[in-house]
Amino acid sequence: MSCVETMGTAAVYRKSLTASAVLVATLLFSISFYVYSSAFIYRWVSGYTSITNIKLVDIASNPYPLCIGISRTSRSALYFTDFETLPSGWYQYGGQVEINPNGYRGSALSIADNDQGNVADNVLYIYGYDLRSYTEFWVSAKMRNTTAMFAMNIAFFDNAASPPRNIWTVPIFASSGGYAGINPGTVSVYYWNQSSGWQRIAGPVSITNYNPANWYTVVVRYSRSGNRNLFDVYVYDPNGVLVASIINAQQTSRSRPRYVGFAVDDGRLDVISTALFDDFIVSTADPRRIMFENLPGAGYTVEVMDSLGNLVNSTRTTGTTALLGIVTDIVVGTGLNGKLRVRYPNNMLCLVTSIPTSDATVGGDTYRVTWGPPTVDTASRTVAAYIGYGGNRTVGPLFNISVYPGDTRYTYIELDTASSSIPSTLNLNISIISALGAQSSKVLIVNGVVQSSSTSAVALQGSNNYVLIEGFFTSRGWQATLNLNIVACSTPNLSICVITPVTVYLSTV
Amino acid sequence: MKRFTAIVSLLVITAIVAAVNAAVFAYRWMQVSVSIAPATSARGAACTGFYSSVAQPGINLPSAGTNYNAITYGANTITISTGTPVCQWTHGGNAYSLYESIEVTIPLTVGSWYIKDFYGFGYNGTAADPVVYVYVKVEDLANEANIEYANLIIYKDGVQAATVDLKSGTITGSSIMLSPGEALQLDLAIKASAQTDATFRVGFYVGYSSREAPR
Repeated sequence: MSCVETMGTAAVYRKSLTASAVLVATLLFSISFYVYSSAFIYRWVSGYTSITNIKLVDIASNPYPLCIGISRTSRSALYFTDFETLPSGWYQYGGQVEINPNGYRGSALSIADNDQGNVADNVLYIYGYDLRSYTEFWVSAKMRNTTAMFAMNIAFFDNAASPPRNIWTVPIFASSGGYAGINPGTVSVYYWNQSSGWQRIAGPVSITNYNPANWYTVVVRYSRSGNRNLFDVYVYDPNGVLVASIINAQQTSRSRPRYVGFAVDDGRLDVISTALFDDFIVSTADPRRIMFENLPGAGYTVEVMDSLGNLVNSTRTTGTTALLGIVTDIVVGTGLNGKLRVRYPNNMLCLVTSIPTSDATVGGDTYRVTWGPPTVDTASRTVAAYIGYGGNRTVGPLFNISVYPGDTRYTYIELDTASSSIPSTLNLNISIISALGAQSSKVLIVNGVVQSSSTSAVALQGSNNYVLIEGFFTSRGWQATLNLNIVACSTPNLSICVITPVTVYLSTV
Repeated sequence: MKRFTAIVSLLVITAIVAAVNAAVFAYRWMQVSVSIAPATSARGAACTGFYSSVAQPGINLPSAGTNYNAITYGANTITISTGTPVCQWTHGGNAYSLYESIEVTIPLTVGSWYIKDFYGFGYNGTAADPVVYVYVKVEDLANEANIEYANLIIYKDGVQAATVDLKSGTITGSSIMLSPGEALQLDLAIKASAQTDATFRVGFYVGYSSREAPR
C-alpha cells in the first residue's frame, strides 16, 4: 500500500466518521425531542353535582303599583301672577308701583302711597280683566305692610280703564291712621262711592296674634245675589292658620264689582310708605286647595313643592281623591314650575312630576294620577310595566325577589347591555332594596346610555325584597327591553352564585 | 420399491423442515426501568398539581381555590377530596403539596350557577425550571338530560385561558403555558332544568411542548 493510498483511506475514514457523528447526533436529538414532547404528566378532576329541585331565588309581584303620571284635568284660575315681573294689563291710579325682590317666594309687587292723584284717597292698581259675566269668583293675595302703613286692601272696582266710581275693599289695618274707630290688626269690608264716600259694611274683626311684619294671605269669595254684593273674607297667617274671617258681608247696590286689584293708603299726608303684594289669583273656585283624583287608594301622600324646593303642603289620602290645602302659597313658589309628588303608604316616593317652567301649580287646580301594577310572569320570568314620560318620573317597586327560606343570598343585578333594547329616550336607574331596608348601588341609564351596568350586592333573605326603579322616557310612545340577571351568591365575595334571568319590558301609557 | 423410498424420504424431510420452521422464534426485548422518585423530588412538569391557597395558607403559589369549601345554599357546601400528593416542598418552614387529582362534590339547585375558583392548579419550581403546557381533555361528559350546559372555565392571572364544554367535550382555547410559580383557577358554570345528578371528569395533561396535544 502506497503512502498516497494510505492518506486517501484516512480521509475517507474521517469523512465517514464525521457523517456518522452527524447522523447519530441528529438521531439522538430527534429521539430526545420526540421523547420530550410526548411525555405528559397526568392530573385529573372528577366532578359530581347533585342538583335539587328548589327555586332558590325567584321573582314575584309587589303589592304596590307604579305611579305613572300626573296630568292637570282642570284649572279654575282665571288669572294669577307671582309678581316676579311687573304684569301687563293693569291700570294704576296714583302712587308708585314696582317689583320688590323681597317677596314671599321670589319677588313681590310694591305699591307706595305718595299722596298724589289718588282715587278715594288710595293708590289703586287694577287688573283689567272684566269679571261681569261671573256671579261668583274668588280673589286672593298675600300682603305685608311696611312701617306707618295705614291700610292695604284687596279691592273690587266697577271700572279699570277709567277711574272707578264704586270701590269695595277688604283692608287689613296696620295702624289707626289717625282715624277714630280704626283698630290696628283688624280686617273689615268697606264700600266707597264717588258721591257718598267710605262706608264700612262689615268688621272690624281682629286678626289673632297680629304681627305687622308677617305676610297675611287674604282670600275673598265674591258673589252677586239679586242686587246684593256678598263677600266672604278669610285671613291666614304665614303658617296657613285662619286668624280672622268675615262671612256673608253684604252690600246692596245696582253697581257690582267687575274688576279686582289692590288699594293702598298710608293714611297721612307727607308720609310715603309701601305695601307688598304677592301670590295674586282670580279664580272661579276656591283657590285654597288643589285636588288629586284617581289615587291608588288610602294611605298615599300627595305633596306640592315649589320651584325653590320648599314643601308647600302635603296630605295623606283616605281614598282615591285628596284635597290639599295650599293657602300658604296659592301661586306656588315663584309662579313657575315646581313639583308634585306622590308617596306610597310607607312614605317611599311613588312619583315626582315636574311642572314645566312655562306653567305653575295654583290653587283650584285638579290633577289626575295615573298608576298601574307591573305584570309579573313568574313562569317566563318577564315583567312588563308602564313608567312615566316627560316630566313624570316613576319611582317604585318593579318586582319582588324571594329567597328560599333560611337562606341568605348576597345579591346584585347586572344588565345585559348587549341583548337589551334601550332607546335614547330612557332615563332609568335600578337598585335592590332588601327586606331590612338596605339599598344597593344602581344600574344607571342616562338618555339611553348605560353608565353603570351592575348594582352592588346586598344581603337578601325571605320574600320582601324588591327591585326599585326610578325613571322615565323623555317623551311618549317609547318602549325598552331590559335583560337583567339577578345574581344571588352564597358568600359575600360573590363567588358561588345562582343566576336568575329576568326580562323587563317598560313602556309609556 | 426404490422409487417409493425416495418419495417417502422427501415427504419426511418436508415434514421435518416444516416442523422445525414453525418452532423458530425471532427474539426481541424491551427492558423498562421505572424509577419512582418521592414527591419531594418532583421537578418540572412533575411538580404540577391541584391545590387551594386557603387550605394551604402561605403556599408560595398564586391565590387559587379560595372557595374550595364554600356554601352553595342553605348549609350545603362544596367538598373537595384530594388524591395523592405528587409534589411536596417546604417554604417558610411549612410543607406544601400539589395533588394528582381532586374529587369535587357540589350540591346545587335548579337554575344557572356559577362557581368561581373552586380549586387551583399550580406549578411549583424555580426560575431555572422550564415552562410547561397544560392540555385539558374531557374524559367523562356531563351529558345528563337535565343539564342544559356545564362548562369548566379556566382562568390564569384573572384572564380566561380556556373553556371546557363538559357536555360536548369541546375545548375553547389552546394549551395553557405555565411558568414556575404560576397557577390556574378553576370555575364551573352549570345550568340544570330539573333535579338531577351530573358527573364529569377532566384530564389535565402537562408537557413541555406547545405543539403536540395528548391523544
